[in-house]
Amino acid sequence: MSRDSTPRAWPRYRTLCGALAACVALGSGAYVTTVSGQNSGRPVAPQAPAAANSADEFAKKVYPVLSDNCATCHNDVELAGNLNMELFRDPAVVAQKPQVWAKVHEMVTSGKMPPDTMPPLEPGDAATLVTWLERTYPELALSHADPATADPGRVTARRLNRAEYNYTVRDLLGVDFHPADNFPQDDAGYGFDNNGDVLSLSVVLMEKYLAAAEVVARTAVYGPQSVKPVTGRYQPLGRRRPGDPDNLFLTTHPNLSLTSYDESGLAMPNSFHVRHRFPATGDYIIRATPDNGMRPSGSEALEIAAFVDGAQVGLASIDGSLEGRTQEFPVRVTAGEHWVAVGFPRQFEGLPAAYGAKNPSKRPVPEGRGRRGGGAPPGGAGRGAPAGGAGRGVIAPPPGVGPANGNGAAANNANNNDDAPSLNVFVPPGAPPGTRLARPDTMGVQSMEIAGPAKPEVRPSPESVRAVFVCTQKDTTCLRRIVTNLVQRGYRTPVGKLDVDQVLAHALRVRKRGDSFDEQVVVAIQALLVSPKFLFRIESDRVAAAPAAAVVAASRSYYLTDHELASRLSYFLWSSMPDDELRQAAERGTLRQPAVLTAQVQRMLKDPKIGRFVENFGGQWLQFRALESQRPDFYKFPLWDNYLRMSAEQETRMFVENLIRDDRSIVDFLDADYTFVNEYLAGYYGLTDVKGPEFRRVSLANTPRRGVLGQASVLTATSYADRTSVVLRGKWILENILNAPPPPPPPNVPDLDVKGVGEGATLRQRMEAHRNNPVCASCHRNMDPLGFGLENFDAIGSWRDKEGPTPVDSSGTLPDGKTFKGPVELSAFLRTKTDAFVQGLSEKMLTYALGRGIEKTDRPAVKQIAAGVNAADHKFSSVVLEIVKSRPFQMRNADKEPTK
Amino acid sequence: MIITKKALSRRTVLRGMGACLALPLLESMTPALSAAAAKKTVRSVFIYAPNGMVMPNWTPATAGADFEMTPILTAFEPYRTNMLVLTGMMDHNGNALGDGGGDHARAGGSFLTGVHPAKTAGKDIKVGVSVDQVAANAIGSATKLRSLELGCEDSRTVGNCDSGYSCAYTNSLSWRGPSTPNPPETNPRAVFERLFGADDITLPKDVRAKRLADRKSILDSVQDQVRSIIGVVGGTDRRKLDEYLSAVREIELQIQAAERRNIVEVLPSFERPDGVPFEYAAYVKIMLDLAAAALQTDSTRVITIVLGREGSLRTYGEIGVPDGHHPLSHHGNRPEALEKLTKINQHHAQLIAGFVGKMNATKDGDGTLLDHSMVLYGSGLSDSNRHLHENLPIVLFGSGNGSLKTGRHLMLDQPTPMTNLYLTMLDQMDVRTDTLGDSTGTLQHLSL
Repeated sequence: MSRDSTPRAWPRYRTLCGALAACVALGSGAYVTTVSGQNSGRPVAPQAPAAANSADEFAKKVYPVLSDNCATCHNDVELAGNLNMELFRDPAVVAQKPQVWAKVHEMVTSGKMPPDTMPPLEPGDAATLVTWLERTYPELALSHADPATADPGRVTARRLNRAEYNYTVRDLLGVDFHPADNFPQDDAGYGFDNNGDVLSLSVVLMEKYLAAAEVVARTAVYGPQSVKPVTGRYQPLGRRRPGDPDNLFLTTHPNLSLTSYDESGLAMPNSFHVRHRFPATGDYIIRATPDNGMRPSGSEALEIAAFVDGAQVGLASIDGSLEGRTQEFPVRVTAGEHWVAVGFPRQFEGLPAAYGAKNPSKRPVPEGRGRRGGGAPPGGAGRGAPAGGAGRGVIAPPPGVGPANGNGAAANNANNNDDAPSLNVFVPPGAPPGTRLARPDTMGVQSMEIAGPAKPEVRPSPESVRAVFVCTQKDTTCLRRIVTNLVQRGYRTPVGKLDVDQVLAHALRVRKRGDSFDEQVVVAIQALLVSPKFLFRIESDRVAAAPAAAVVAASRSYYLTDHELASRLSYFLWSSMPDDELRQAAERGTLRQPAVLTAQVQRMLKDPKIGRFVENFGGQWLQFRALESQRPDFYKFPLWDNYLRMSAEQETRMFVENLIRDDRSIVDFLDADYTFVNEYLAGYYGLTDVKGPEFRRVSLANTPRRGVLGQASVLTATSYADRTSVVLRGKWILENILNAPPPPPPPNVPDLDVKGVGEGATLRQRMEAHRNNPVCASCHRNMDPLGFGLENFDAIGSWRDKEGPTPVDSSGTLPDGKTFKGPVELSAFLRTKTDAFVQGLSEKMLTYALGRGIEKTDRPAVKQIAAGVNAADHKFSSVVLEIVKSRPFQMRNADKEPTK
Repeated sequence: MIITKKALSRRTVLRGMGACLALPLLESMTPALSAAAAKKTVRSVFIYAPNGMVMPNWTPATAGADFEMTPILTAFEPYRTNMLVLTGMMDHNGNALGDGGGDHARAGGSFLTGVHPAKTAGKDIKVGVSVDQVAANAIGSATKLRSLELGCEDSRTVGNCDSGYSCAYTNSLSWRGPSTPNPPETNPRAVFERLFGADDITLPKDVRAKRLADRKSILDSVQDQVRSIIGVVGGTDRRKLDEYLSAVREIELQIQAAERRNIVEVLPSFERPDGVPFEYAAYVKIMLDLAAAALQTDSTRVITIVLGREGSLRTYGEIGVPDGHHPLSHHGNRPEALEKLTKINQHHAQLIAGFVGKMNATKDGDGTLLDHSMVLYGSGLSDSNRHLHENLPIVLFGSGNGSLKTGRHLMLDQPTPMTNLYLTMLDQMDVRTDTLGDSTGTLQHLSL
């Protein structure tokens, strides 16, 4: 680790001191290259000096630097970032705060401190400080080691997480019923649930491994195992309860009218959508129970339809009351996860003519009913008729709801009386004054059940047969071949005779017992699936295991074997074991050749299995995986239903997938003026001319939405259930885009004094009051303005000009005086921070690729990866390729951790 | 012998259709122990509620037997004589102690361990062995399951859970080793299968016997495999393989214990649940019913239940609280926030009261299940708004076989570690251990 002398060029900061130094500066684009650039480090003293000398040197040389620079803001009054440098006037305190010095080193060498708003350190001062830091704490110097020799680190043996188990079993055995979905949840660390250190193995999990191995093995050999019929029951997120206003679809949903709507019913707000995992191919029943909505008197029968993956699979019509009119739709479905929906096709057809909708009802309006007030057209205001009216095309109110006098639901609905404007009253556009009609869209789905399978497919899948039975004789030679093949692939490494024999022994044992050949294979697979060599990805620690040339001289680092590298690649990009082609490249020993490696990566990125990366990396980074657990307040956000949620997830998923497939610039994440929508989401975003449930690419050029920060998924994931949070969104941007995660809040958050701010204060006023507290301000002055830039998007990502009666103020001013207003300008500002974004994304993806947290020693690699990405026009593939080429990905450090 | 359910009719097994959420505990559920054996058995249940409580609405004003019920505790009025309200307990290791933010993660991680969790997002997660596991280590071999961990919050977490702490600290209350959490089972169906068998009981007995033999033989051989690699891997890898090995051994012990006791058949009188119910109350209820069933059938004597992960964001629209629980818990003393939080606290209390009631109504030997148990309910935070780890809301139900004096509100003169209470509870279970986490001794004045 040779270095030359002192740093020559510190980043230049020209901006002025704001009030307080920020705990995290936004404006420091320069930090990547200055200190850390290749070989620009300083000599590192091998040992820390004697304590006395050190203290003396600190007091004479180092403290003045801190005092003159840092203590301008980090003092006992301002306490910026909750740090007071004046404490160190007493050298005795110095040694008590090693974590402070690590932070100081990181902030100064990365250029994040002093912030843009303050004068930079003099180069000599910087050298004094950094040299002292690194001599006192030698490990600090590792962060700017030469990336060509830096410590590649060690990855702890990784247990397969749930997704990886499912995919590995699928790719190894052609068994695709997702057995791991019933395993306990995997813990996450450093943002991802594939972290070797965090993934633990409990007794419960071991029990499940044993049980799953049995079922998986039998499924592979004999076909789906005694799949018992079960019923999955689903209910909409928040349904009406007695006393609630009727559904508010027409009034809350944009771009919806009686003449222009989705006639399939699939994407109507009163449709109901779920994703359901079907355990086996077989016959199922989709059972839909409609709500007690009502059709206006004189309407024709209502249609109700079921859909699987967007295709209509059944249609029924309900004439009369919806009460208790559960409809069953039989359908044969293939195993796996499918999108199932129930909706009301042509729900605005067959209404009385007064509605002005398409294909009006040909039925007569019931005499003496349905009139309200003077001048209402015949049939107009009928809210329903008693059950006796059934057969005349009238849907009755449920018993006990109220008199069927044309105002059926009134008894339970305070909003609904003849005088007050009512949510239940509908006035068609252009209707004569005084027209009051019953709402035509109050029907909904109360619940959906999916029951089955009956007549399940009982044969093993062709993939299973191919994967398992590599020979067909029923003798021990073939048995050994079958086992060898599975063990080789399942252990993801060349195997010895012992490995095969251990598994084979089980097959031979039951053979002796007189069990059939198939049974022998089953038991072998079972044994394989609970082996630690299958359940864990263990990388060999014996240097001898790698070719001698692979060991880097004079270091304890060595290259992974080609098979280990192949495994890292496939779990990184496919969340599963290597396929044959990748395994063969490893077998030939050519995988590490740059051309071969690049070609393999490019091939893997184009493979449909990259969808798993989108789901697991993208879903955790952009958090769309968490949307399912998000429960926006139904009363404030009635539009948030499963279909919107699924559509929002799908938008982000397709956005990421497209970016990978077309190998676009990762800067698109920040400012893409395109996205992917279906009709429903398009309406939600205010886009017209998108018809049907298929997702397609659309331009956002004339809209305020840019990049992922314009997508409903991210906007919802960064909100509370009942409101937006400029703090959450600002923090999200700092962490995920600006690579400047704010430190955690101090342990005891001071109370926001409501009285001092005033009860009627706006959110902005309250946030500003919050920032009067210096400890809070040091971080919130960076976070909050960014969040304010997105305030035009409500807590489910819908556009709003006002919050309540108050116009939304979406302007933000950063500590350095930069201002922006609204999401488009925010996006343009973030675009100027591309370097920080590239570095941050590189670090996150490296974390995911390795399955461990990023250490100080990885910083040189991260910088090198970012530099490579910058040089490749930020193409997505360049991030992956640079990671794959990096030392932490390719190498491993010999064991140096003490045995615990 | 794995517990199986021969007596279940085929019709019952196949009747998995239709939600079946109520699990009545019927007398037909054969207790696995004779009355005499049950008499000596003391069970313990630890139930955790996240995000603290509205303490003014929790803590009774006066100590002693005549304390007045508070808005939250009032749900427990029917069990007044069976309850012991404890004021003055603290969880000192939930405090920052120089580690900065992350009080929720620490509250969860330290609650049953009394150990300050290492601040890490992943590498070297470390806290301590939790009280339930100390008990399970001592008495777990007597039952089918050494312990049972249940959770009522099933969500796909992403990222770090609280200010740089790994999600392990908030996901799991129970820690088998300092680095090995016992993640809770959140799916009622899976809990049912653990308790009453996932085996296809329609298979002939000899086939089932064969499969058990295969399982045992496989468990045997994987241990050899681990031993052959454990010597050549590094420190952290070894730790992972140790986890694997001890889990395998544990299952072997379970099988042996079942064989030794020669349990014939345990027949649960309720149907296999389908999955996670939609409504939270129904979800909690079914999990608590399963817990009661586990105790009643003596399938385990040690249970931990997480009503929600510490820092939970769950919304409670069904009781008129559509706000996320955690943001709401930073109530800033706003009256409407306090009112909503109280509603959540009351909602939880009612669900727990249902569980206590069920235990109280279940005969066990010469008394009730509740008589022979200790059910601890509480949170690792008191005022979540300020992240206070003192004066925790703690209530204990059941007298632990008559050894604890219930029916009163005990106000301790000085802050006392939760672990002192745990040591006392362990005493009642005849589990002898001198210290646990930050314990300083046992809790006086608890017994008669």
